[in-house]
Amino acid sequence: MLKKTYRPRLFVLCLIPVMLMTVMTGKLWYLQIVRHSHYVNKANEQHHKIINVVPNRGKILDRNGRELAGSVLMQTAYVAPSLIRTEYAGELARDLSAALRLDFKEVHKRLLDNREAPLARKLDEVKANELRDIMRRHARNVPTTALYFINEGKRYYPRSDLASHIIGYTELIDSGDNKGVAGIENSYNGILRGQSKRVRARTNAIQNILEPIDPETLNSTYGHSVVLTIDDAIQHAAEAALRKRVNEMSADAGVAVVYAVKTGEILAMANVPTFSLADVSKASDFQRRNRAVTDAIEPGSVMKIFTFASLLDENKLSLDDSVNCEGGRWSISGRTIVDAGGHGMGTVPAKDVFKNSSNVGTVKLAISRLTPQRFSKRLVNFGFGVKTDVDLPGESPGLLRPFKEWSGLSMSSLPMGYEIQITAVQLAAAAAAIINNGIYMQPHLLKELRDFRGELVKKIEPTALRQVVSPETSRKMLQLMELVVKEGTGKTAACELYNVGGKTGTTKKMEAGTSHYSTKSYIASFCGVAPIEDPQIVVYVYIDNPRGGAYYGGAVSAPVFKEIAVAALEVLKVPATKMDKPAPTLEIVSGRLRDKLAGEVPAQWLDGQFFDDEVSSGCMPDLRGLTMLEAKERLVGLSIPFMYEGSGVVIDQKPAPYETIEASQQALIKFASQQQFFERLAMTIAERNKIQTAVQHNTVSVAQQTALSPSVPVIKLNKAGKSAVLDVAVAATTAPAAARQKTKATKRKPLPLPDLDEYAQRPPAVSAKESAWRRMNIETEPAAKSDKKTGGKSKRQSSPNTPVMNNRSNPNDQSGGDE
Amino acid sequence: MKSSLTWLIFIVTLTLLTTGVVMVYSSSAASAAREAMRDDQRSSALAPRANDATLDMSAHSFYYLKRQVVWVVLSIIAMLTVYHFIDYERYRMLATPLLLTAIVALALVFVPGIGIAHKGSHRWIGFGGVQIQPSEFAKLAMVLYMAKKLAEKQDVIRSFWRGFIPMLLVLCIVAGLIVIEPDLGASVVIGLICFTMFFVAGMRRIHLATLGILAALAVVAAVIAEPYRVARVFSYLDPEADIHGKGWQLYQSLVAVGSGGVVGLGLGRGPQKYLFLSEAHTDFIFSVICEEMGLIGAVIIMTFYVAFIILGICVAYNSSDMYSSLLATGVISMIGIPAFINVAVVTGLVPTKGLTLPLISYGGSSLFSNMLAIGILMNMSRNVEIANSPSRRPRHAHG
Repeated sequence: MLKKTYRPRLFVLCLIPVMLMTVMTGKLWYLQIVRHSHYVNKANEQHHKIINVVPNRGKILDRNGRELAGSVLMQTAYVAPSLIRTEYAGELARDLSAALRLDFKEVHKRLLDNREAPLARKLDEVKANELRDIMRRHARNVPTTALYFINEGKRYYPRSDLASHIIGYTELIDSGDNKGVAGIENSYNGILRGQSKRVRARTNAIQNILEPIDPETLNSTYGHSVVLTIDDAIQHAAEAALRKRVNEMSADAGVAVVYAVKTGEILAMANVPTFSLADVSKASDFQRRNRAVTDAIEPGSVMKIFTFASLLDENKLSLDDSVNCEGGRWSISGRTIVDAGGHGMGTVPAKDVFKNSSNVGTVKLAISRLTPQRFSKRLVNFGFGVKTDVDLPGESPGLLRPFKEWSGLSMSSLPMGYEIQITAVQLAAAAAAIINNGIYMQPHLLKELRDFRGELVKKIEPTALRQVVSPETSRKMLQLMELVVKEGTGKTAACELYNVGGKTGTTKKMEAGTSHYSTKSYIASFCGVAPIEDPQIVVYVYIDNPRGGAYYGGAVSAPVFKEIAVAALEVLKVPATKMDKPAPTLEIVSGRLRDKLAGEVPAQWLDGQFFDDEVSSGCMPDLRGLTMLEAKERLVGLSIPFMYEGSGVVIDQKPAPYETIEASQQALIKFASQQQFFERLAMTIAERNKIQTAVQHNTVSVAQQTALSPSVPVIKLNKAGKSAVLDVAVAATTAPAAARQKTKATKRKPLPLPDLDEYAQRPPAVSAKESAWRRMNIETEPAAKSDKKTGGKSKRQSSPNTPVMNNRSNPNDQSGGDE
Repeated sequence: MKSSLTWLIFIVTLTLLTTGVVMVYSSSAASAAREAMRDDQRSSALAPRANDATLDMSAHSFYYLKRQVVWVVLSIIAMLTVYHFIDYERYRMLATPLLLTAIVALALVFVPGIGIAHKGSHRWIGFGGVQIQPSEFAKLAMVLYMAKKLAEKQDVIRSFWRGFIPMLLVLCIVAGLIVIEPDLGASVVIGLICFTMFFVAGMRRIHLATLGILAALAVVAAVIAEPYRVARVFSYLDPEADIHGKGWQLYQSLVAVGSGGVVGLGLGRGPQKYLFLSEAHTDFIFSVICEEMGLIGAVIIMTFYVAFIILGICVAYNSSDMYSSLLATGVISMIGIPAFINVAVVTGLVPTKGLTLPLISYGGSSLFSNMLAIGILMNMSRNVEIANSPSRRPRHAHG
C-alpha cells in the first residue's frame, strides 16, 4: 500500500501544472494582448520589404513604328552580407570577382559590408546564371540567397548610328533608372521614363519575395513610347547623302532637315559629324551637337525667299517688274554690294533677280519698296528670332534684332541674309509655310504617344499657327523657286522624276573673333521644295566650310538636296510628276468600273478611255471591283465557266478584260478585300507612270499645266491620243500582243476615243492638287474613316474605303480653297 | 476500452496529435521547400534556382507533413499495441535491460558510421533510412527503470546512501551522456522527470532540495562551459537587444506570439514561419500556434496538456501500488515537463532550449516514445474509474 507521503505529494503534483499554466497564460496575455500592437508593428516591419521597382523606359519609334530606342530588362546582383560568414567570404569573393572581372578586394569588401548593396549592374541572363552557378557551388558554406537579383532597365539603340542627335541618350542615375540627357530622351524624359514604384512586398526572413508583384503596379511603371515624325528611311537617306557630301568637300559640318510641308512634321534631321549611340562617351561635343536646332547661321541668299515673299505679299512687286542690277556692283550708304560670280546683270525682270540670286537687285527692291518696320514684322512673322518649340532641348532662337536697333545698313544686309541668324529648323519651317499656301505649321518631331502595350495615348495633330503670306504669294514663290532649279543657280538640284524648286545660298562666314567676313570660308546652302505640283517636302541643306574648291550653294548643297528629295519622295510614295499627264489608264478600261470607282479613288486614275461594259459572248468582261455575287451573275449570263479563289471583290481575272475566251475555257477569278483592290490599283498605276516616264521623256512641266494654265483638257486629249499607242505597247508586256491585237480587231468592241467635248464637259471629280493629297491619304491613312471631322464630304465618307481629307491638315480648306 | 479514463486519455492524446499534424503542415511549408530543394541539389547538379524555391513552394510543402503522418500512424499502432497487449507489470522485468540498451544507444551516437551529427550535435543514430534520437527512448527507459527501482526501494527511500545516492548515480550516467551530446535540454528534462518521481516516491525533502541545488549548479556550469548557452541566457534577459544575432530566435518567437493577438491570424496565415522562426515546425511550433490561433488556441492547447496531466495523476492516485503510481507519474512527466518548458521558452519565460513540444512538434523519435509511454498509461488506466475513491476500492483493501 502506498505510504502517507504519497497522496499529498500527488496533490502537489496536480497543483504544479495548473500554476504553471496560470503563469504562462499570464505571459501570453501580456504578449498577445498588452503588447499586441507592438509586436504587430514589429512583424509588419520585417515581413514586408519595400522594393524599388525600376521604371521601364518607353521606346522611341519612328513614324512607321520602327524602334530607334528601347529598353531591355537587365539584372542587378545584390549582396546580402548578413548571410555570409566571414570565413567563407574570401573564397566566394574570388569566384565572383573572376566571373564579373571586378577587383577581388572590392568584391570582398561588399560581401562583408554591413548593408545590402548592388554588386554588379546590368547583367544579362547568361551572366546572372553564371553567378547563380557560383552561388550553388558554394551552397555548402553560403546560402544561395546571399546573392539575389533585381531587374533594371538598360537602354539600347538598335540602329545606334541613325538619328543619334534626335534620339539623344541617357545616363544611369543612382536609383537604377535612366535619365535622358540629350535629344528626345531628354525633352520627353518625363514621358519616357515611367514611374518608379516602391512596392511593399511580403518577404521571408532571407528577403525573398513571397508573392509576385501585382501586375497592375508593374504595368504602371512603364513609360510611354514616343513615336517620332522621323521616317527612318528618309533619315537614313539624308544622313548618307549629307555625310557623303561633307566628306567629299572636306567640310567642317553639315545639316539637312526634311520637313513635311503640310503638317509641320520633321521627317528627317541629319547632322554631320555624327556619333554612335552605342558609345556616346567617345563622342566629342562637336560631334554630339544637333546643329539643326542649336546652331543659328546667317542664311545668305536663301533669305531671298523671305525677302521676295515679303515683297510679293505686300503687293510691292510683280514678277515682271524691271530691276536694274547695275552690272552686279552697286554702292549704297558707303557700302558696295556685289553679285556673286562676277557676271552682273543689267535691267532684268524681278524673277530673274531671284533666279540668278542677284544681291544688288534684291537689296534695291527691298530698300525701295519695303520699310524696315514692314520687313521686320514679316521676318518676325516667319518665326525668325524666336524658338520654334520643336521637341528638342537646347534650341537656339536665332538672332533677329528688333527693327529699332537696325542700322542704316541693315536694310542692305537682311534681304540677302546677313545680320540675321536662323536655325535650320526655323528656316525649313518658314520656307514650308510660304509653300504651304502661306500657312505656318508648328514644326514638330513628336507624332504620337503610345503606352507600353502600343495603344495610342495621344496623337499630336498638325497645328496651323498663322498665315504668313497669301496663297497667291505662295503660288508665285513656287514659280520663282522652280525657276531657280530650271534656269537659275540651282540647276544641280533638278531631279529626273520630279519637278522641284528651291533657292541656293552661299554665306560668307564671319571670321572667328572678328567682325570681318571671311573670303575663304563659306556656308553653302540650299532650300528646296518637291514636288512643285503638289509640294510635300521642304529640304534645307547646308554645308559648313566646304574646302573642295566649290563653295556655292548650287554646286555644293543642291545635289544633296536632290539626293535626299528623291529618296524621301520615293519613301512617301509620291508619284513621279515630271511626266506626261496621266494617259488613259491601262488598268481601268471599263466604263462600269470607272463609274463604280468615281469618288472613291483619285480622279487621275480614272482619266482615259473607257470601253463599254457590254461584251459579246466569247469575250471576257471586266469583272474587277465586282462583288462575288455580281461577278457570278455576269459570268453565268455570258455562260463562261469559272473557278475562283479568295473572297471580297475581284482583284484579278484570267483572261484579262476584253480578251477572247474559248467556249470550254475556264476563267479564273481572284477575290480579295476592297482595300487590297485599291492598293493594287495604286501600285500598278505608279508602276505604269514610271514606265511611261522612261519611255517618253517629256520635259514639259506639269506645274505650268496645273498651276499656271487651268485649261488642261486640250493637253489631256493630246496626251491621251499619243499614249493610246503606248497603251498597246505596255499591254503587250502582260498579254501576248497578237492575241491582244486580234481581240481588238475582232471581238473587242472599242469605243472611239473620247472626243474633245466629252472630255471637256466631264468635270474633274477632284482638283489635281486635292486628288494628289487624297492619294497621300490612301497610302498613309487607310483607315481614314475614323476621322469624323470631315465636313461637307459626307457623300464620300459614307463609303468605308473613301479616303477622307483631314480638315486640319488640308491647306486647301484653310486657305479658302482653290477648288 | 474498459475505463472512461482510458477513453479520455486517448481522446486528449488524439486531439494533441491532430493539432500537431495540422501545425506541422502549416509551419513547415517554408522550410519544407528548402529541405526538398537541398535534396534536389544533392541529387542533381541541375538544381532549381534558389530564388524560385519560395515561389515554387507548393510542390514541396508536403515534405514534413508526409513524414509526420507516417510517424503518427506508426505511433498510434505502437500505442494501441502497448495498451492492448502488454500488461504494465511486465516492464518490471524489462526495465533494467531497456535502460542498459538505452545507455548503449546513447553511447552509440558518438560512434562514427552509426551516430549522426547535425549542426555539431550528436543526437541521432541511424540505420537504413531511419534516424532515431536515443535520448527520447532513454527517457522512457529511465521512467520504467525508476518506477521499478523506486518501488523496490520504498523501505530505504528516505535513506541518503541506500535510497538517494544509487538513484542519483543512474540519473547522472544517463543525463551525463545526454549532456555531452550535447543536448542540455533533454538532460534537464530527464532530471526533472526523475526529480518528480523521486518526489512522488517519498524521498526526503532535504535530499530533494540538495538535488535541486546541485542540478541547478550543474546546469549553470554547463551553461558557462558553452559560450552559445551564455549568449542565449543574455538574449533571454533582453530579447530585443540583438535582434539579428543571438536574440533572433527568441525575438522572432515573441513577435510571432505577440502578433497573434486574441484570435490569431488564422491557420496557415502566419508569416513568421517563412524562415523568421528558425525551427518553426519543431522547437517553435507553439509560437506558430500562438500566432495563427491566438491566445484562445494557445490556452486550449495548454488546457489539453493540463488535462492530460490531471488524468495521468488520477491514474497514479488510483493505482494499486507504488510501482504503477510512479510509472504513471513518469509518463505524465515525460509529456508534461517538456510541454511546459517549451511553452515557457517560446513565451520568453526561460532561456531558449532546443526542446520540442511533445505530441505536436515534428519529430519521429519523440513522438514514438511518447506514444509508447501513453500506451503504458492507458494500459494502467484500464481498471481505474475516476469516480472510484481509493479507500472504497476493494483491490486496495488488502494493502
